[in-house]
Amino acid sequence: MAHTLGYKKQHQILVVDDDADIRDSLKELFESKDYDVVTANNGKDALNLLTSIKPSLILLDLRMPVMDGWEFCKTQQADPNISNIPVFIFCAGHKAEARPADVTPVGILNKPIDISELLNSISPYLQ
Amino acid sequence: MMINVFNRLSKKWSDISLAAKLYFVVGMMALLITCELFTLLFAMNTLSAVRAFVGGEGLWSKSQKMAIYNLGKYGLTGEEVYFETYKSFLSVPKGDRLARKSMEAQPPNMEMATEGFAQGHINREDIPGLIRLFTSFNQAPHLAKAIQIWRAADDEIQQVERLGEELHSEVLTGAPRKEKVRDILDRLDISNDKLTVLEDDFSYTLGEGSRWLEHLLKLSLVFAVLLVESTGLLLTASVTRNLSGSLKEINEYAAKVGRGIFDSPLPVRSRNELGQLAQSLNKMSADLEKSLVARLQTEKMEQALQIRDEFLFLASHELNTPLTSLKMQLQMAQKSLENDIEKLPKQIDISLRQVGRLTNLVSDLLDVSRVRSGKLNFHFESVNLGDTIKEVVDRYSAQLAEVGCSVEFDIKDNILGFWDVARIEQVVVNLISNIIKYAPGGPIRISVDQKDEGAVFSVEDSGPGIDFSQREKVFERFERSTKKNVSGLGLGLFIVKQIVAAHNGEVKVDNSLGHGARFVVQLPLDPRNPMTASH
Repeated sequence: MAHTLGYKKQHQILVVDDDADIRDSLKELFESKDYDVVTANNGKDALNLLTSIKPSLILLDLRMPVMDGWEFCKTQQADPNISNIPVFIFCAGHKAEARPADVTPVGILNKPIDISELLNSISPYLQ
Repeated sequence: MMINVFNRLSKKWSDISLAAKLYFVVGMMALLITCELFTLLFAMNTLSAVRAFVGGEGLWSKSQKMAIYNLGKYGLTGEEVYFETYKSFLSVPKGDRLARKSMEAQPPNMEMATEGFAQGHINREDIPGLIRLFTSFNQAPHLAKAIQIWRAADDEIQQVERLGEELHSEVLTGAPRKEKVRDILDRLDISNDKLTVLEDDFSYTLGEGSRWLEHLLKLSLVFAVLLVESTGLLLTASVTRNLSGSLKEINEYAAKVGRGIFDSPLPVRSRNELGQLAQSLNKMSADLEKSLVARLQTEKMEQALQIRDEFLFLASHELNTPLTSLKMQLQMAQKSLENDIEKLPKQIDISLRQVGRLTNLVSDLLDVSRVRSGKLNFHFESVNLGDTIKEVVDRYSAQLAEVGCSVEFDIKDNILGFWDVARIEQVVVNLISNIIKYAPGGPIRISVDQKDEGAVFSVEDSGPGIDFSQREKVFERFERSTKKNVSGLGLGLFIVKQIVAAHNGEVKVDNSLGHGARFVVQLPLDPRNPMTASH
């Protein structure tokens, strides 16, 4: 169980990925760094969760059934209640998974990734 | 022999160019019509000559009668003027005789004949026709007979001439004897009577002849007209039949090529314009077919390349997913080694699972390449089908429960056959994996039964089912459900089909009553024995 350091607010990360092993690995990693982790296995589940929680950051896979990553982004950025949450794309793809013009994630991370690189990339958004 | 000649002629005729054929047809018609006109002209000339003959006979008879009448008067009166008149009338039959003799001479003397007829008071315009009729047709039965009568009449005229000379001498004595004069006049009467009979005969025979000739000419005119009409019709029909038949064939061929059918070339039936057109069309369609085939090949190649690229992207994505977990777990395990050693067993466990996933993907890829090179190996042994299937499904029970699929079995016990157990398991695993991916959240029904010499098992889900048009396609390589972003290489059902085929069995998919998909696998109990192999 994560513990709170006196002055520091505990940040919550929403992990959206259809692969259970990746979800579990990320959860284990982030929890070991004292972040609170919530998971969803597709974009639609993630949007449902966002009606009740307000995470500090979203780590988003692209290729998912039901609702894919880019579609989630479009809906999320159109909703003023949640549009300010920074989104990191975490995908296994390359050029083929082109980004739609009206979607602007704060960063794109490629699978597989060094955990130090992953933590360094997201930490500025979790101060 | 005759047929051979006919065939050769008809081949030659069909080889003649269309323009030449048309000229030929028109030329033949013109020639025949010219012949007909000449026949008509000949008929008119001939009939006109016959009319002149009849006219000539009239003049001949009249002059003969007048000559005898004047000779009679001369005998009774002794006045010289009657004798002179007699002589002048007699010059007409004598002229005609001169004409006849000139025409019968060898060689015939036409100038003399003309002079003779002129002396016979025949109109000069009619004379050439008369001469032609006489010289050309003197063997014709009627004319030959008329000429014979004419000769006899001429002989009689000579008798009259002799009597005339006798009378003249008697009168010139100054004291003609009455008995002698009477005797001469009596003999003159006899000659006159004979001549009357001959003249009647001549008229009659000439009339017969002219009717016969008229009839003949009428027949030949009718024949000529029929010949012209039928030849024209035949030639036109032959040309147009040939033309329209070929054009119809060419038209049908062009329409066929237009629809993209290139099965057989257009037959080249002649060497004329139509034959050349057929050859050009054949060449054009051959070129068209070649370029079409080339284009299709290019398209196919491009499609294959596109499928390959998509597959490579998909494969890298699929391999990346377990690699991502594996890398994270191993890096975390590295950290755990330093400070949190109790987390290690779980991290190694998860890592091994990722290695298992990678192994499965690689083995699927290997299977596909083995199928392509025909090196997919099988080891047949006695297998209990029901038990094997149950075992596999049990292995997946946790995953099935996770996606909300309950399993219902309908398994007939103790169905034994000679199969490759590992491959049969692979078939079941692939079918179950598909259900987890494509048909979560509903009950599954698995049945195993024996039928004839084979075993049948089916796996039925409650998912969205399979579109009718996709029933064959789902078993193709790299073919995935149209459902977006579902993980997998699109190889599962392809491998299933190859394994079942290697067992001489058959796999099919249709939709169950509940609209889910239903995969049915039929396996012969002993695939090594072709007698029991089901198809």
